[in-house]
Amino acid sequence: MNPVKLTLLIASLLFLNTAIAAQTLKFSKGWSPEAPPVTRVMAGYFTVKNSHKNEILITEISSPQFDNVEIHRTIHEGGMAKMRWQPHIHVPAGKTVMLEPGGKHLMLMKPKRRLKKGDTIELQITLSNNMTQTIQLSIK
Amino acid sequence: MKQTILITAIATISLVLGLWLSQKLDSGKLPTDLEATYLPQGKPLRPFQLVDHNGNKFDLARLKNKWTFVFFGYTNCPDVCPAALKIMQLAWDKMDAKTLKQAQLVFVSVDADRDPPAKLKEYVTYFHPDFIGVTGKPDQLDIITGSIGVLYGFEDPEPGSKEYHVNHSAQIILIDPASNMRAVFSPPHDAESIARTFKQILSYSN
Repeated sequence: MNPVKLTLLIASLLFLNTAIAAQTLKFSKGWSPEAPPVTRVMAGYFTVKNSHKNEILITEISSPQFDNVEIHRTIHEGGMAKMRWQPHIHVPAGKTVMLEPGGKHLMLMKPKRRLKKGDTIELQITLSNNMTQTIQLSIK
Repeated sequence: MKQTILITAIATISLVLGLWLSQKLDSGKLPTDLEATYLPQGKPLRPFQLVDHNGNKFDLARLKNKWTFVFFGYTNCPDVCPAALKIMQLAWDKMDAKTLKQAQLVFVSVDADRDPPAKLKEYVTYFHPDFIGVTGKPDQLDIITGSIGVLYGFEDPEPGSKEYHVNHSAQIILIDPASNMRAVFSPPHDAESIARTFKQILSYSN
């Protein structure tokens, strides 16, 4: 490969990398219902929009205010409401996904201190393209 | 041949008459678009022995002379239970004092191991000071869930975790002052609808 071609290839790879790396999701309506004082688990909800041409997965969520954050989905099966652990949140290209009561939700486990109405929960979100984003949920 | 015709005729007439009569009896004042499943005959509850959030006995006698809304769940439930209790809190806000005097809400924890009375008290009274938390031994929980016809079951903890989830029916059940199951509110629930429907059932029954 001649030096010009090689330079072009590196340049295009760098460009492509930057283009992919810039892909983040748009979060809105982040909230969490205030929970009774004895509760060791809270729920989190948000709306997420992917305005890119390829699907993006939310692969990991953590919060400095909780021991652990998991993604779950409430399903109604055999006459019962059941919670199913989800490995990720799939946000298809050009689509919006909503987390809401009775459906997909975050399980925020073991708050490090009691969180009340008006407080904010900070979430660190990792995407399948290795991008990370920080979002906030307001407690209502 | 004549006899067969006679029997058929009698059977047909009885059937038509029976249907007409049952419709006539049920048509009362209950709207056809009632936003709950109403049980015209009611379903009597079997006697059970549970304990309320103050450590007092909670049995059939505690259902007498009140309309009781019952929801089954557990306090570690992040999504379904707090949402249902929040809706009942809002429904309570929408009811007038006269209606509320005839009503009580009971949250039955099927997860007695993790929900002792003191914890249940903090949990349910957070939603409303008048709400009652109830739990008990598995055999007694099985009696009340069995006679109402709701289900629950425990999931195995995820590997490396002590936390487990509890699957449970998400209907809100209405029991009449004679401890008969009278109506079922299926999810998704709405406070406005529950308050309105309850009033309709009350005026039909009184």
